[in-house]
Amino acid sequence: MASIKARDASIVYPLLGPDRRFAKPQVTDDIPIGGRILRGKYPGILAIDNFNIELEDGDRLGIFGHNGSGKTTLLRLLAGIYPPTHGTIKISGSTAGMFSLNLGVNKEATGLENIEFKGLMRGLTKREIAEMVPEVAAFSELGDYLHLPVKTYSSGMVMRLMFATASMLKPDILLLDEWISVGDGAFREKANEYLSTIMETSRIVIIASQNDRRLREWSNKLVYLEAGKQKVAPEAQLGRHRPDPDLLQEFRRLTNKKDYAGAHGLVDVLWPQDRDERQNLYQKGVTVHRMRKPDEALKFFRQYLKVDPDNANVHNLMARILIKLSKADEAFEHMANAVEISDGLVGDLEWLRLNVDSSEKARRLERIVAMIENHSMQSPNGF
Amino acid sequence: MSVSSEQSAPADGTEVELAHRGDWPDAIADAKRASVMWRLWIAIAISELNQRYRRTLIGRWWIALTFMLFVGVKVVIFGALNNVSSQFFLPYLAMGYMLFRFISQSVNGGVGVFTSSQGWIKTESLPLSLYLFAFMVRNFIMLGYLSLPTLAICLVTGRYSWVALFSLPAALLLYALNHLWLSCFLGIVAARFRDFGHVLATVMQVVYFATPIVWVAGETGARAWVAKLNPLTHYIAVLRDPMMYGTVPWNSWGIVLGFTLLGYALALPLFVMRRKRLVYWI
Repeated sequence: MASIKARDASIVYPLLGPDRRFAKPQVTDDIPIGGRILRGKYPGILAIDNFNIELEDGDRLGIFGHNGSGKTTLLRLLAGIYPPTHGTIKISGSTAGMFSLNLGVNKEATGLENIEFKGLMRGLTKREIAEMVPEVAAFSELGDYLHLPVKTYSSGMVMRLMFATASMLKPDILLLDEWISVGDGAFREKANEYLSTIMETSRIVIIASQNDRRLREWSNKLVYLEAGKQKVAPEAQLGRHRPDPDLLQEFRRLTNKKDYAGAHGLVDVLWPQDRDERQNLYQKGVTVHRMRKPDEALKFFRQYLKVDPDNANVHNLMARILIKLSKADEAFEHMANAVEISDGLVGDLEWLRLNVDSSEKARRLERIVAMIENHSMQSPNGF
Repeated sequence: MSVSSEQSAPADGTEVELAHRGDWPDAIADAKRASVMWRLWIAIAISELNQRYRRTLIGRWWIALTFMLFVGVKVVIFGALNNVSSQFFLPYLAMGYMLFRFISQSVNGGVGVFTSSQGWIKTESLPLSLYLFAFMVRNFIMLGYLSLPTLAICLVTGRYSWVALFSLPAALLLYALNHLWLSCFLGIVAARFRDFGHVLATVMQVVYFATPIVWVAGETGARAWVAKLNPLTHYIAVLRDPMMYGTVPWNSWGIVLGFTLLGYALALPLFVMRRKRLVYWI
């Protein structure tokens, strides 16, 4: 079980020796970027100001902030690299961070040596590392380049090496700086591909980025940083949200038409204040599911359905977990829901047919099949 | 905002837990964690050496080669100035110079032991003692390369003794212990006060001539005094005297042990108190 608990953690970078003269008031105090400059007897830069967070297994934390808002410093605080100068932080679990292409790899050493270093840091023996090398070589697709010093690599190759080693080591806590979003399209695509593989094996993932939208899509917890201060997410500042009446009517119409897929698409727009909770539960469920903890995953998904009962994907996932647990009746119920809500797009109709073992189930299946046929006849494209 | 520039007294008067107060159990855990990772510090040491000699034809043997060139030149020049036979002076100089190189490297490298590892320290949460151990291993490997020509010289000139064989392990252990506190102390102080490293580099050049390496201390006179007052004389004596004279210099052992204790009395509290500040200084 991995966890991070930060309580009123602050970081002050000291200004030492001759650097102190820069702490004199020179221009103005309202500098738009960077932490606050502290003057006085111990001048420094207040990079992180009273940060609080609690993270546990399954959490995906997004850190959003502009240049100089303290994202990288916060990542290093959460990785246990920077001890807080005030307050406390408690980290349990192994951590691995990818902060930049320049740091974290030894440019003079070969790719293989770098893999060995990272392995030794995790306390692996040379033999254990040697067994993993073919895996890393295959995953990174670096081939003979692994025998050359990293300084001969292109930045894309360095990235491949870092990702491959990180995925091999399976850290409990993975921290990423936004540099993964740089580069051309193909580079980014590959990075995202790697990323999803590594994230599946990590219990806690933390990403810092300037891309607000991407973070929202991906994380279940969000932190807004402004000059080292933790800000409330703008959405939550709006207060109690009232659903748009026109959209609400449309939602009711779609539900009456049993167009659940369409209705589901409106849920996030209508009740955005619950979205974080939904995403939170969904992410946690998917994560513990990937960690092969079916009972915990089911718990999260059941909670999810209380907030948003019409998510076909969640029903489908639950059904598959329940099948593995040999709970046929419950599995049938959720699979039927998934197929019904999605008009047969999600879920396995064939499985339902094969698992009818009561007249009640047979009736349910009949209804669903009829509904799907009915809908596809109404649709001009047969869809 | 409860953090002020006055670290111990926050502006709004509330109590702020100062995470940087010295914490002995934490520091001991740091050392323990690092000592378990012996594979890593050996790998770091070897890799750093390999990088230094990468793409050279003779690789790490450059260490021995430069050493032998220096010894050869010095024997020719300073041998004439000392009223001793070259049978005596050659092994005397080789051993003295070898040990001085080891000590001066531990000083000159020690001031940068943390700052030169900042790439690692700022990306991985590894125990800081690890860098001290890795640096020590690197210096001992280099000492190994120097000891080969030195031993050959001793054997050829007949300057060896069984006493040396018995006192060698103890003396090497003493060197290792001193290496640790010295690099720890210098590494922390030099990270905070950057002038310190440059001052020490200058000092070490002067100390070289104040240490009986290229000259032999007599029983009386100015040289004898300089030699006696210079702690490096005694550090060198614990390893050189048994080989040269077949005796154990108990006096020097006492002085070196005293310096070792003094060193730890300085370095340990410094490490405990400043370990968590260090990353912000490098």
